[in-house]
Amino acid sequence: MTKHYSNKDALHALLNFLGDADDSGSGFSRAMNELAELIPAEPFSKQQLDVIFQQNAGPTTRATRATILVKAGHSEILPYANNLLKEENHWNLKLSYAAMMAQLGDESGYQFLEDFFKRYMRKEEDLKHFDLEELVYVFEEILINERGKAMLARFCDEADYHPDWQELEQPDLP
Amino acid sequence: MKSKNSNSKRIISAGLALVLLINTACGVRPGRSSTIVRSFLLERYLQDDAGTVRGDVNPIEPVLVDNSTDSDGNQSISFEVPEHSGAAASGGNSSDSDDENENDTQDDADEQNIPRGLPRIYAELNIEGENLEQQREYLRGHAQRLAEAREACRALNCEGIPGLDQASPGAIRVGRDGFDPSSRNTLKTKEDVLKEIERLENALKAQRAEWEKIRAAAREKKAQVEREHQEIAASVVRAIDEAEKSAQENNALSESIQSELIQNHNSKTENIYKEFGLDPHQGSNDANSGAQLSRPATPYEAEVERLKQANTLLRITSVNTELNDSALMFAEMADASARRGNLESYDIRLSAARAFAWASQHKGNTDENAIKAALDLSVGAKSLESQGMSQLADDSARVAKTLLQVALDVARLSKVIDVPLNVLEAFSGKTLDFTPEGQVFLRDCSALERGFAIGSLVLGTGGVLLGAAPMAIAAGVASKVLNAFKEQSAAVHGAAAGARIFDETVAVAREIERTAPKLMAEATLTAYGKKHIWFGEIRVSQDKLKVRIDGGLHTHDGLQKYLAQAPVENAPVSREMLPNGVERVVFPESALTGREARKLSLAAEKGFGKANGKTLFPSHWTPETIENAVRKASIEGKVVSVTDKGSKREVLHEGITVIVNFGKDGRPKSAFPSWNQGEFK
Repeated sequence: MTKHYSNKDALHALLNFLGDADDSGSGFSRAMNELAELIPAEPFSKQQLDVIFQQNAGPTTRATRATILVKAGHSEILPYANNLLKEENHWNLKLSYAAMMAQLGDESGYQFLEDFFKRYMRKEEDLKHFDLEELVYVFEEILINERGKAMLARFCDEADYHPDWQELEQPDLP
Repeated sequence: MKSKNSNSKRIISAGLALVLLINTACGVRPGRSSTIVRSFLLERYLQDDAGTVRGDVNPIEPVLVDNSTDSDGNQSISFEVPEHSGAAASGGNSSDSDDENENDTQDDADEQNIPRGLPRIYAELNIEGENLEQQREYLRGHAQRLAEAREACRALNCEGIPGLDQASPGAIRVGRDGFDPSSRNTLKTKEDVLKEIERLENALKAQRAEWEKIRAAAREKKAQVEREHQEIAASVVRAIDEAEKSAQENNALSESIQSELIQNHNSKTENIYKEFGLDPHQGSNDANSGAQLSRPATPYEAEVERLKQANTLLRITSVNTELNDSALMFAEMADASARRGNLESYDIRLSAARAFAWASQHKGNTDENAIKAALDLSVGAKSLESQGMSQLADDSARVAKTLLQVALDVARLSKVIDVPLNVLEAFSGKTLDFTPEGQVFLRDCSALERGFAIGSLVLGTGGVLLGAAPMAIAAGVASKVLNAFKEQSAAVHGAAAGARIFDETVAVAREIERTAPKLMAEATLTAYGKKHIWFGEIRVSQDKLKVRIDGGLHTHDGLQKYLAQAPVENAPVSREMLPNGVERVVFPESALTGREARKLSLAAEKGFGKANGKTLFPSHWTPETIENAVRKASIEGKVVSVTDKGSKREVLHEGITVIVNFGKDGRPKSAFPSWNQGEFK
């Protein structure tokens, strides 16, 4: 059984999160999951949430902290995610907050994702250069429930996006 | 008569000497008889040798002066002792001698002479110190036998037989060679006497030949002594020459050393002059003295130089050397801040350095508690600085400086109220308080005060100490913090509602103690880590149309290999070569996985790079160079980030600022050039 951090420890761990030290995207994702498992279920206070979403936080930092809390099932962040979904300008971050809301059971999150995908498929002007991998990322990283998986599968089929990533074998060092 | 006795003794002496020398020449080990002979000779020469002739002529050898045969066939033989031996050949009974007084006088004169030459050699042989009385007894017996021979001659009416009168050489020979008492019965006729004389003459010839050998041996011995003397003299001359030469060399060496010492002294003196800003050559006519600056000093350099000179003066005249050491340490820390470009930190530390330097001069009353606390804080500041907690180090410097004001009784409320008391309280267990008149003084913290100070410090450091305490301690957080945790937890446990934080901090402290040993940074990159750095972690879609970077890739070689496989739209959107050879590369989103892009963005927001940006090591760097940088970072890298997943350490290696990621097990996972080269954060 995982021994959770105290609420205070969890708070500080979140504030200092930088990802796994193996310096890879996969490690980054793994580190988020590991930290999420250590965070206690006890809800954070509004004061603590204010710190999490305001103190020394850039947009990606905030999104990362929120993602970890969503993975830990902390639905008290929903109001913050909702606000940030509206405040952020970058599609990657908007999609992340929408996925968080959806993962936490907020239907508007699903709806936002559906609307976005339709716009993407219509190749609307501001999405012409959107990298569909970003959408895949938010599903794989955040919206991981069954409904989310089905939604992602459907999106990929419609977009005919099935990259099936494999790791490139590297030669020996010189 | 005495003269004749003396001559007889000479003959006997010659015989004994002959025996001795023959024995010596033949290598015969000296026995009792030879010892007696040597002793006799010694006595003879020292007491009554009246006819001594020094040199290579045996002084007691009789000389054959006639050896002819007459018409009847009778042989005529006569001997004489050398003339310088006195009237040895004349006179009969020694007691009748007419020249007794003369010989006595001669003997007395010779007795004044110290034996030299061969006699000295003979005398030197007498090293055993034998019984002289025994030798005298032998001589008395010998004289008795001689007297008996003379008596036999008179009984046989030997007058008319040449050489057989009492003073004849024949009688002398009998006296010398001894006389067999049994011969008294055999010398009954004139024929017997003639045969005996013939026998004695033949024996004398043989003896003469032996004497020649003695002379030859003596000459050889003398020559040997002279050679030895010459060799000794030559050796002495050589020794004197060598000593003189050695003395000259020593003198030259001494002059050289003195010259060097003088030069060294002058050089140091010059340096001291320079340190004080004085001209060591002032007043001299040496136009070449003093280095000329190629450019005027900047205001910063001038200020640094001025402060250094001031501190040098203070160090020389310090009363408290510990305070002086701290002053020097803070000055060095200030330099480090200046190099980082953090002028605010520079000001704090330099002012602390000056405060410590001036405090070291104080000779009046001081508050020893405050002095000690200030010194503790200076140590803590250094420790915190070395662990990358520069802000906390600055706070410690500020408090330490304030404490010195307290210690020197110059502090007033207005000057010290704005100090981070939690640093003081947590690290030293002291706190500042005020008299009703506003005078500041130092007192011990209450347990609760110190406990809250620790808690505040923990929170104030951005959670580094508490939230990720194991790693923070692994990075070497000052041990005083840990001790304070433990001490104060015990003190305040259950004392107040706010004590819960101490329970938590002690739990952290225990976790630190448990895990700290394995958190020591190690130097070896794993094979995975090496490939990660060199080639990166590349994900390829099944149709090979999409190639994305999921991590790593910090070399030109790796980038070329990636671009060779990636679609053209994945080419970097910007590349910037820095002066030290590090290249900054920014990729489009299509070149990165979503996770990698998110990770890089997060790192950029934390100050470790730029969104979608990567840095490449200089093209000449090899895997070994990178490995060396990692090793260096593990030893002396500055901790720039600590999380529960590991730590980042920054190190300057071969002109490149490198960041190394260490996992929570202390092992290096990755390394890459920092985005801001040469700018320590």
